[in-house]
Amino acid sequence: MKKLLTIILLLLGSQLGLWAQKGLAIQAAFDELAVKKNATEVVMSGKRLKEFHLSLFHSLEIKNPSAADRQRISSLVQTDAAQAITKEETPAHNFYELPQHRGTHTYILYRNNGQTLTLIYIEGKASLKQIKQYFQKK
Amino acid sequence: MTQHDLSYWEEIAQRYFLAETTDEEERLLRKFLCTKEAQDARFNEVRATRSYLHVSKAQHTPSVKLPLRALAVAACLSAIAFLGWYQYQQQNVSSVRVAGQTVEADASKLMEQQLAEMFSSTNP
Repeated sequence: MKKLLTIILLLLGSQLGLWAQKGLAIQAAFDELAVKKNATEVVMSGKRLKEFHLSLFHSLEIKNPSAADRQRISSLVQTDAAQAITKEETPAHNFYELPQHRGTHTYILYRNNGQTLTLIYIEGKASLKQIKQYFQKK
Repeated sequence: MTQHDLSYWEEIAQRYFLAETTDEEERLLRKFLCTKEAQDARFNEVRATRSYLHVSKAQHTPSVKLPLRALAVAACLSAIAFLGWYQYQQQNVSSVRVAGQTVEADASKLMEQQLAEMFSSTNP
């Protein structure tokens, strides 16, 4: 009976893993800004990401973002960027790799070209180089 | 309890072995055997017989605990099956929300589009 209870508790605990960005500052961006009328939120996980060696894709795209939205998201991204192990920052985009957790890479990708602001959170086994290769060619 | 009383119970005990006692007499005998007076050696045989029958009956009567345990195991297995199914469903999420409202859209296509745009200005 104790073994069964242990299994149940483990299963319950594993439920917490799906929305892993909850410990990050950018979670506030998803919570607060995804409901805006010019916002599009995409969440994908599971077998459809397997071919890319990813386990979670969560994005927020805001068309014609207000200055306040840009400021808010930029601030949240910078908060999480403080713990990044690798950074790729250019005027066009910011890519951050956060410390690995159980062998899983975690990335925050941020882009703001003035008309569209895109914030992406990714988890998976793939390296950033591999992710670029998968999606750049498409 | 008096000596006379003990004689009475002795007689009941003898009749018990002859299968001549009534249900009521057996019930009272059972109660008497639990008293201090019944620890007399004259009642050793009937006390041992009753004890043996009691233990034997308990061992061969289907226990109430068994179905309860089976129910508990079944409940746990059901919970595991449900959580497994729930986790599987959760792990295969594919959703697009516009302005906080879920819409019918191809999440894969949007993901590929967003990532392609994200990496458009970068080197491989």
